[in-house]
Amino acid sequence: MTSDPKSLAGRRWFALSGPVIGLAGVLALFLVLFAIRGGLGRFVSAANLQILVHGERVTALAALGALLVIVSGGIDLSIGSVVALVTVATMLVYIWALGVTGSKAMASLAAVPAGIGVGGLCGLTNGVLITRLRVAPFVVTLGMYSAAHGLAIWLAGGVILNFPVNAQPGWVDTFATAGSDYTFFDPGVWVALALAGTVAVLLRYTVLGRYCYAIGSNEATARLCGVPVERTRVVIYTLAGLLTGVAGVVMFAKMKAGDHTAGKGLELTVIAAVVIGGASLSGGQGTVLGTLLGVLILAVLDNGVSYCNVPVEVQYIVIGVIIVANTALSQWQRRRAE
Amino acid sequence: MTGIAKRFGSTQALRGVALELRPGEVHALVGENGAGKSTLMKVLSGAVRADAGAMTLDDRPYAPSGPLEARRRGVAMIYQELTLAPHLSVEANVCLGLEARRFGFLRGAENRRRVAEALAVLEHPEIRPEERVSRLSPAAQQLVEVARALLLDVRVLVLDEPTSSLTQEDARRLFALVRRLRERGVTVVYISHFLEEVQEIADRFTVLRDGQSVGGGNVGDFSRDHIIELMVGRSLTEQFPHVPHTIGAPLLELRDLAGVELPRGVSLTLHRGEILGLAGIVGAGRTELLRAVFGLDPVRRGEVIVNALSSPRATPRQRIAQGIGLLSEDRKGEGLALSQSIADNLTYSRLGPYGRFGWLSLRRRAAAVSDWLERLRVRCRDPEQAVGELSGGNQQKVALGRLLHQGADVLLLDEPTRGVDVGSKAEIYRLIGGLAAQGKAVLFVSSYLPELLGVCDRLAVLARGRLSPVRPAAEWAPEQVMAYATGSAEF
Repeated sequence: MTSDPKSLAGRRWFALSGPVIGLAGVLALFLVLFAIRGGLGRFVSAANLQILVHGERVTALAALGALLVIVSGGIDLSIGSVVALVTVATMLVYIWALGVTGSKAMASLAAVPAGIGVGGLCGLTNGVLITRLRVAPFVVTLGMYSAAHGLAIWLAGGVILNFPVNAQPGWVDTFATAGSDYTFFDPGVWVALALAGTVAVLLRYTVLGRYCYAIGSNEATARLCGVPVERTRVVIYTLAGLLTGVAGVVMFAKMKAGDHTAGKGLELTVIAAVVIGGASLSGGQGTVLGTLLGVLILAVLDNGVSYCNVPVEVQYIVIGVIIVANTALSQWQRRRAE
Repeated sequence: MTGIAKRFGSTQALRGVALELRPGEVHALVGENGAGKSTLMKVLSGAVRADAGAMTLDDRPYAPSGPLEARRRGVAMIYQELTLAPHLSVEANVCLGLEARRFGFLRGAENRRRVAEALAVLEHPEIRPEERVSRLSPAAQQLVEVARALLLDVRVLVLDEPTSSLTQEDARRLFALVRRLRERGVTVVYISHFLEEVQEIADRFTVLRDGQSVGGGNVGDFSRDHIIELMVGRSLTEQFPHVPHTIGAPLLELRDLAGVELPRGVSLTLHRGEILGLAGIVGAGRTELLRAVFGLDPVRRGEVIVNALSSPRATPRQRIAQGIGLLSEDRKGEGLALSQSIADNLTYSRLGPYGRFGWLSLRRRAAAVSDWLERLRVRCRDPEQAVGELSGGNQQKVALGRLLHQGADVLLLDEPTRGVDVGSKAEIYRLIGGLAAQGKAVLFVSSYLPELLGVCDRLAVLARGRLSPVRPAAEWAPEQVMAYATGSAEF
C-alpha cells in the first residue's frame, strides 16, 4: 500500500518493459543472424529504417483505432474488411469526382474524406449495434467483417479498380514510396505518427480517454459514477472507424487501386500488435507507446525475415510464438510485481 | 422516505417502507438478508427507482434520476462489493464521472486539488492520488470510495456492510472516520449484520423485515436480543445451536506445513467428530493454509497426513478423492458458478455416479439433487434455477452441500457464514454441528470470533502464518484471541 513516488514513475516504464524487451530481443536476434551471415550493414541502415517503418504504416494506423476499442474492453474484427471497403469507396468517389470536375486535386479532396468517412460510418454502425442491440462486440464486428467485405466486392463489381489512364494523382506515389528525400519518412508514416500523438493525448488528457479506461476496467462502476457508457462506446467505435478509414486511404495509395482483397487478415495483425504492446484484451490497459512498439516488433520481424531469405511461413510461426511468449512474460512480471 | 415500494419480477422487495434520517446522526439499518435493506438504500441513492412512495431531502421533494443526480443532491452510497475501476489511479477513480473539464480536456490541477481535499478528510496519508487502485488493500479501496462520496458536498452517506471485508484494526479506523463525518453534520446510514458494531457506532436504528420497517429507535434503549427478535420476527433462544458430537480418532494431521509465503510452518491434528476453529486477522494466512492443504497453493515444506497416509503435494482432484472438501471464502468469485444451476453447482465435484461412458444421466441426478436440497433445507423454486438468484444464506448451503455431496470427511470451511443473515447463520451452525455428529472433521476459519467461540470444540489463532497452541474453545477469552491475532502476545 505504501510506496515512494520514484517507484510510481518506475512502474509506468515497467508496464512498457515487456514490449521493449520483445523489441530488443527480436532486434538482437537479427543482428546476430546478420553478423554471422553477413549483410549487417544493409540491415542497420537509414534506408532500411525507412523501409521498415514504411511497411507497417497501415498496421500502425489501424492499431491506434483498435487500441481505443481494446482499452475500453471491446474488440474490432472488422478492420481488414473495412480497409478493403475504404479503398474501393475512395477509388469510386475519385473516379466520379474526376469525371465531374476534371481536376485530380479536386477529385482527391473529395475522395480522401469520403474514404475516411466510410470507415467512420462502419465504426459508428458497430458502436450503435453493440450498444442498442446489446450484442457482444465480438459478434457485431464479426458481422461487419463479413458485410463490409461483401459490400466492397459488390461496389467494385468483383474486380480490382485501377486508376483510369493518366488519372493517377501525384500524392499517391509519395505515399507509396518508402522514405522521402525531404522529410526522411514518407508522408504515410508521418500521418501515423501525428495520429499516434493525438490518440495518446486523447487517452491521457481528455475526459473521453479517462472514460475509455474506466469502461474497460469496470463497466458497472463507470455506469454507477454517471459515465455515459453507451454514448462513450459509440464515440470510441466511431473514432476507431475513422482511424481505420485513414488506414484504408493509405492502403489505397499503397495499392494504387480500389482493391477488395486489400487488408486481408489485417485485423489479427493489428490485435496482435496491440496485445504485444501490453494492452489487455479484457480492457482497462494499454498505451499508444506500447502499441507502437508492438507494431515495430512486427515490422522488424517482417523486415528481418525478408532479408534473411527465410520463407514467409516461418515469419507467421515466429509471430505466433512471440504473441504468446510476450503475453506470458508480461503476466509473469505482473505477478511478481504484485 | 415514505411508502417506498419496489417489485423485482415476482418478488416484492419493499412494501411501503418509511424511514426518517436526521442530520448528523449515524443511523443503522438492520435486518436479515433479503429484508430489503440494500434495495431501500439503492432507491435512496438513485441506483434503483421505486415503484411507489415519495422522498424528501431538506423539505424539498427528492426523486433522483440516477446515482449521479443523487450525488449532486448530496446522497452517496458505498456498496458492499467495491465499485472501483481497478486499472485506474486513485485520483481518476475519485473524480470518475465528475471530472473538471474544459472542452473535453481534463483540468489536471483542478482535479488534483479536489481529490486532495477529499483524501485529506480520510486522514490516511498513505493513500496517494496517483497510486493504481488495484495495488491498494481492500480497506484502502473502501476509503477511496468514501473519498469519491466526499468530492461533492455529501449530506447522506450510505455504507452497505462496510466492515465485512475489514480487519478489526481497519474497522476501528473506519469507525473513527464515520464519527468525524458525523461531527461535520453528515448523516451516515450504516447497514450491518453485526449488532456489536451497530451498538458501538450508531445513534438510532431501523429494523427491516420482509420489505417493511418493523421497528427502531435509539440504539441505547434496546438490548441486542431485542433487536435480533425484531430482525427475525421470532425469539432466537439460541444463537449457536449445539448438536452433541463426540471426538474420535485423528483424521487430518499437518506437520510443519509451509507455503510459498504463508503459512510458515503449521502443525495441527484434526479428529473425527471435531470442529476446530481458526481465528486470526485478514492476511494471517488462514485462507492460504486451507488452500495449501487442499492443493490449490504450492506446499514448500511439511506434511499433510490424511487417514495416516502422508502426501504433502497433491492436486485438488486428489484431495477430493482423499475425502477433503474446501469451502471458499469467495463464494461469488470462486465458490460457486453463479450463472449455473443449483443442481450443477451441487454436483460439479462428483458427477461420477450420474455418468456412464461420459454421458450424464440428468434424470438420476435430478432425483438425487432434490433429495439433497431437502436435507440442506435450501429454499429455492427449482433445482435448475441459477444459483446466483438465491439469497446469500441459501447459496452458502448449496456450496456446503457440494462438499457433502462429494463425500468429504474433512471439511475446510473458510468463512462459511460471510454475507449470511442471522437466521441462516444458525442453520449453518446446526448443519456443521450435525456433520461433526456424523463423525466428519471440520476446520472452521472465521473472522467473527463469537461464532468460533460458540461453535468450535477447540480453537487456535493464526498470526503471520504461525499457529498458536490449540486449546479447548471454553478456555479462550476473546481478549486473549485478539492479543494473539494482532501479534501483541507471542506464542
